Amino acid sequence: MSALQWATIGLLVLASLVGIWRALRLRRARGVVDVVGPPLMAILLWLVLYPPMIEKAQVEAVVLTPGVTDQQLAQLDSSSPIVALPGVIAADRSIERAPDLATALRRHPAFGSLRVLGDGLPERDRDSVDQRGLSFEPGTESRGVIELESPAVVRAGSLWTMQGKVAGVEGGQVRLLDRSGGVAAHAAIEESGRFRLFAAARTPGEAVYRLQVLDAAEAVIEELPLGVVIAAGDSLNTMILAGAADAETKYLRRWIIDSGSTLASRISLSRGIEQRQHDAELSAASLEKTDLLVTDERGWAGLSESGKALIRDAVEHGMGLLLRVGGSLSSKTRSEWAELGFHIESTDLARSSRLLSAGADIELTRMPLLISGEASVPLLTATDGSVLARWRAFGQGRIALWLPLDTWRMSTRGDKARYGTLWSNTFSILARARGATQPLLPRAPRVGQRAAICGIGADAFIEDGQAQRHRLLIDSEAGNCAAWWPAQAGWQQLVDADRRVPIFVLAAGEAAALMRQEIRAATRQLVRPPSVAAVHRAEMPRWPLFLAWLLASAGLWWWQRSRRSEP
Amino acid sequence: MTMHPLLRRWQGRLRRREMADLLVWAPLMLAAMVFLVSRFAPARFVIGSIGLAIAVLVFLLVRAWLRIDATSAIRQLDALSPELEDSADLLLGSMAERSSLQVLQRERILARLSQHPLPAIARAPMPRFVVAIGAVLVILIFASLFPRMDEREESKPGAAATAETPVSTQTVIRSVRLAIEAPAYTGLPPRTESVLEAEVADGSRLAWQIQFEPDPKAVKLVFHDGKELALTEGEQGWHAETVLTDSTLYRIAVSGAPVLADDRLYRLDAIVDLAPEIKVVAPDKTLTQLELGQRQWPLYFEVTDDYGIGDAKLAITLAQGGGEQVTVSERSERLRADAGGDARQRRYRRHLDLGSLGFAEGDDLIVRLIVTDNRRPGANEARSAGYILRWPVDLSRESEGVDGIVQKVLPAYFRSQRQIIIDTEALIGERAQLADDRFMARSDTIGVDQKILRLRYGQFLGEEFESGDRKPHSPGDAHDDAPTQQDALSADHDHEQGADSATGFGKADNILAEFGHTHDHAEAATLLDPATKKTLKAALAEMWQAELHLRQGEPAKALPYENRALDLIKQVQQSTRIYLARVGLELPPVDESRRLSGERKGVTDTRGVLVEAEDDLKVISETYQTLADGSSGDLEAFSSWLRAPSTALPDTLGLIAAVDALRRQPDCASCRSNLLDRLWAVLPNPPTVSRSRGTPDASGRRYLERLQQEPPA
Repeated sequence: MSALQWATIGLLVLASLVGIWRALRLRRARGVVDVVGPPLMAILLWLVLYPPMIEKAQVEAVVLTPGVTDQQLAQLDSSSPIVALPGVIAADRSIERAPDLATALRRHPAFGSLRVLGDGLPERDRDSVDQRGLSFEPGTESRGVIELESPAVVRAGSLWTMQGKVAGVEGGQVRLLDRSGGVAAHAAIEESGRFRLFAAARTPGEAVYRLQVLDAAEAVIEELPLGVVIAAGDSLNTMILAGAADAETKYLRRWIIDSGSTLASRISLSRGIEQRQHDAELSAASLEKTDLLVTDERGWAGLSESGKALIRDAVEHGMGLLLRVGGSLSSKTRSEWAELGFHIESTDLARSSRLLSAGADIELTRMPLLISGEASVPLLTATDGSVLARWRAFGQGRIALWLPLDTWRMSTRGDKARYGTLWSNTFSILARARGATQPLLPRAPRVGQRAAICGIGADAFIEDGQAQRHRLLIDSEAGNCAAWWPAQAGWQQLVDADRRVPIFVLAAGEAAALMRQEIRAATRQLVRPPSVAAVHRAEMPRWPLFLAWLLASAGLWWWQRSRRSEP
Repeated sequence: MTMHPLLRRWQGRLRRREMADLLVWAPLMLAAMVFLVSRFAPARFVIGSIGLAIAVLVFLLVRAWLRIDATSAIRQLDALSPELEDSADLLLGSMAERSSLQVLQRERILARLSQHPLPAIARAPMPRFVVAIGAVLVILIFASLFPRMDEREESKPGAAATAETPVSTQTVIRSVRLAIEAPAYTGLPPRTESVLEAEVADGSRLAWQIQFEPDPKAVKLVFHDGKELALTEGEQGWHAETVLTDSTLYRIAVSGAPVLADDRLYRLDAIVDLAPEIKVVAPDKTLTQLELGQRQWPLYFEVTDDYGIGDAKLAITLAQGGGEQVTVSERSERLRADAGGDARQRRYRRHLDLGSLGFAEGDDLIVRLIVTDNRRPGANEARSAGYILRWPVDLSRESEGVDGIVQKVLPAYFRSQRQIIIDTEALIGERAQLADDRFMARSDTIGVDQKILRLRYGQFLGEEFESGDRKPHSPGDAHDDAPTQQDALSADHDHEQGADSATGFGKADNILAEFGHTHDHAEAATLLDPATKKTLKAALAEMWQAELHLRQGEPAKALPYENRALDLIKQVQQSTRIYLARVGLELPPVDESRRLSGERKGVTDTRGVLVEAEDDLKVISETYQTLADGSSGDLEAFSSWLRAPSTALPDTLGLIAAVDALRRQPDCASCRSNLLDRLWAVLPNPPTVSRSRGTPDASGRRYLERLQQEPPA
């Protein structure tokens, strides 16, 4: 009880005592009423001032969010309370407006379950829903890109894929424009609204593309920016031990050298004749420097037992190993590779298979073998579902078994980027882990919205486009994470020690349909039926108490007046 | 009501006083208001407000006049002259109805009035509101004298410009007149531009007329390839003339005056006159079989050109006989275009009468259309592909049953080296009878045949056709629609047409991926042993020379080269041993000192067989990266690389201009971004790089270790 209440009690007690004393002293005829009356009045007045708490049933409230349709507004039931969150355009001035959901719920404890109309609850309001029941009725249909999946980092020279979904555009197309205004990629929108785009990454750097959605009349429906970091490559130390010269080895060696990796290779040509590139001797020291060793079944068969043991040991310590199958396997090789975790069976699969690679259907020849191996993962899968290559972890390193025989045809056909993308994927997966661990960046951060960055050092900060530094408050308890509210759109740099990681920030109004869709999806997650007996404690209404006090005091007054006039 | 003259005079004085009092403040105040209006409102409001002010003033004066009526004049006179004993009203009205006392009193005051002059009227105090409104007006006028905020901002740069020009720290181009006169054959009207950049037809005459402020001593135009054109001073300013034959960039260099205010590169684009394009509507395929009972062969060509089509000739070749006994007769006839249609688009129809040509069983009739345009000098010539009408030896037998199954292979039609020699000799023999241009044309035709043959042999050496770069003036030009001799030659070239919508357009690599395959793997072409390759190369060199002289109309000089080429080809044909190269096998020379000794110590290949490929375009990506990082790098070197004749980029001139702009203003952000945009468009596709995956942390390593220790289930 507060001091005010104590003071009130004191005053009421004093008043009732004065009342009793006056009644007893001034009048001759005394009754019980004179004694009981004043305290009763005081108690009633106390109740009027501080009504008692009683339990009441909660009501369902309607929460209007941006994107609510006029039809929904017209159909609103006036009996249930309505609250409009910021951004709702409603002509009806009587609708209560609340800065956020938490405020509305605090103002109205009677609000039980919520009926959300419109796009749904933005991130700041989702926590305040708590355990309440929630039903969601989406408002206006969005028009534009509602799903987008694009890599934030792509390797230079590779073909990268982005896909997404467009709503509200029939028979249109999407285009990816680069900074010079040229069309980097374009595709028609499928009937389901999905689209896929394939673009070639060029010189390393930060690139901004613009994704345009065009309708059937080629009018631009939506345009949104897309920041892609084109990453420079690492120089991998690779070694090739080939049992014979073949086209695959030739083009692989060419690509390895062109891509900036170093290559040591040994190709057996005939008995005692080898073609060598740099020093491709097998030793513990040379293998320790090697990131990835590529060999084929003939090269493997030509290795000594000690050589195989060295390789095995090197893989356990982190080296990558790619085993190419270029011909029939001897039972010895089969058993040795089974020890590495791959079981190989001959099947009657067709030698020709097709591979989907960045939108192109490529025909590949492969060995008709079935590889299986527990704890192994498909690395390359043909369109018919058969596995063309598998890899598995082995110690700290990784081993892959590779069946395709003629990927080089892509290179001679002029598809160098596709060829390079296929092999660079493979090499990047298998090669020794030497790279720095990347911080966990937010997906498509937006101006004014909270974004979380994880896995950064204690003195990391953000540098915006004008080279202004923004401090991050890093919570080392929660996995070195920091929250960040970007203030500017465009490229910003996360500077962590000597590492700079670019982050692309969307402006607040950009990709509006995408954001609406995200909000809707998040709101749908919150949908739950209202609990049956939802009650809350609230003050008793004052008017019956006041009426009681008024009647009682009027009665007492009449009683005392009538007594006084008697004599 | 009659008034006494004295009273009338008094009233007049009162009225004048009242109006004088009004005139002290009202006109001034109204003028101030009009002034305020004129500060902020347009002119018509000002005129309106002047009229309104005059109306208000007149109203105020009339009101003052009317306010002083007889009653108020009498009241004031009573108030001011106590000796009138409040009887001034007796001066008003006629005497008839007055009482005698009144008459007496009137006489008295009249007498007093004649003794004393009428009292002086005090100046009325100014109304109180005048002071207040006057103060407000003074403040407003004072405030309005300050320039408005937007006026001030607008006036600043203007003021700066006016301040700078007379100081003459920079020379300003006052007026520009660029007269453009396209070559007469194009039919384009002459025009003048008032800017320094233009897109003009190739071969146009340009005349500049530029006026400078201040006038320099000498002016010249410096072109980006180093040429200079001096301007001469005339009455209308500085002028110069030149004929534009190639797109170029230029800068105006002034001497004897300060540098130009806008010193940048200007661009002149020469629009090249392209050769006519021939579309063959009928026949629809290059090889047509004669149908039974066919008497005529309908031909239908559509030709378009950018400025106008000249002559059209139909070359008809009849090959008669079979086996070794083939006789070929050639003739050509001029075609007349169908009526209608403009000079840029013409249609040609011709029905060849097979009987009159002497077309018989077993013969081939080959036609091709040769069209020239009106370009001068040197008309562009376009040739269609050869279309063949064949009368099979036994039409009935061949077209039975299997007709749909038999794949008719189109042979590649080109002349042999021996045939070229025969043609050349025949031409030399006929030299005396032929007119010069006719002789030249025939020699050129043989030269084209020689070129086709050279290309054919060049394939064996891994050369690609001379295509890609469109040379508009060369006769054997390639066309988009019409199949050409080159296409016919490349029939064995099986270009896969994997239509791939996902690849963007405008990318050299993607186009290659869509339509072709690469030949730039030097190893892929080593089908011949080195000696044969050498002989073949020599043969090609001879053919080059022969073609050169034939094209220049000197068949006599070409003949020895042709003969030598024939000898060399014969040698190649006789060398039977053809080796397939094994990948990368380049054995080093045998070290005799180690031979058979078994000594392998120190034998290492340190350099390696493969070296990294060199990319000419790497400089573009390097420049792009430097610029994107915010530094400038060596723009000088990049600019000279761009200017080098070996650089072939889609828009080199635009790039040079963009580099130049940034070099002149290194801190101009829009210039930098413009250059980056242009560089991006020509960035080469680098080889795909690989990346190392992130190193696992301690717990990741431990996880992998545990995984390895786990016994397989």
